[in-house]
Amino acid sequence: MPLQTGTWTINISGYVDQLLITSVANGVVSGKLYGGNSDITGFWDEDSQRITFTVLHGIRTSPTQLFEGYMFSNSPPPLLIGVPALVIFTLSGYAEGLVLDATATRHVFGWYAQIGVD
Amino acid sequence: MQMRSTVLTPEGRKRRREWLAEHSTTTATPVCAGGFGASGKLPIAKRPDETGAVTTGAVGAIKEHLFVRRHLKAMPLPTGHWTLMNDGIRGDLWIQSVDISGNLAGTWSLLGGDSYTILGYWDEVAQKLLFFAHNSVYTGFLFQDGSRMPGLTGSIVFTLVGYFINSSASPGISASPDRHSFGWLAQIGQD
Repeated sequence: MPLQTGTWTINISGYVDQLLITSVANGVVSGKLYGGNSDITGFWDEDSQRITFTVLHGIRTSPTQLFEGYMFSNSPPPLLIGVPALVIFTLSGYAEGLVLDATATRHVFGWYAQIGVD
Repeated sequence: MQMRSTVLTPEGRKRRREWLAEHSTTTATPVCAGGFGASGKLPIAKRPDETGAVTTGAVGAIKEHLFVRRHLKAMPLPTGHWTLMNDGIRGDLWIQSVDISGNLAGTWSLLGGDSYTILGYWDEVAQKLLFFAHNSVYTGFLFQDGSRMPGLTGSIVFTLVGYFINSSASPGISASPDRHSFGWLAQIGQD
């Protein structure tokens, strides 16, 4: 299955936000996270159904967050409120780095995202 | 379908009561409309609070910070029946026990099929779960969630989400050299 472009609803360890996938070109992913304030860049491996991306936000000049996730489809209704649709695509995985209140002993968090397709 | 509720040991009930007493004020699904601060760690508050109002500025930042502290504080792994979504396939994850060292025991099954024993480890500091089940190694991370699967009961929902690596054929999974890692998540509701 190709990675769906558009606005995904993402839940990062309890935070709900929007993950905008603007393009997937030759496996290169680009988009926005955190209310459109942060750029993401990464890769989509169609064979393994895996997305990997980094997040650049704020005043930082290099990415401080790495997200990795795997996509699957499931029947609705979805977990996340506001995701309409006939088919739900889910990404689930982990985020590592300066995410939320990261500490030396806890800097990897679970996340999932969903988008509905009619 | 009515989901079964959690069964806790007396020690588990005590720890759960303590944790819930400390965190019972959280009721709403947080929505971070404003993104995260320049530090990359403390979000800029611009999200609806429990009343639906959007708070900004210093007060909002403090509320947001309290949210982070409340949700990210280390908590014990809830034992009992977790509803599993395994690469899109529904299943059951029973976490029967977690001892004081973090060793866990339980069972795993998909679509009401055969049940397999699981063994694994719970790292409470990292809020990280690792377990082995039928040719697969699962890694997941725990958090309190504002979203829930259909049919899940309980006033508080916890989510485990992560990935699993499959080494050979398992029910509903077709691993290959190109694709042997998959996504999963599970939820449990508690009162």
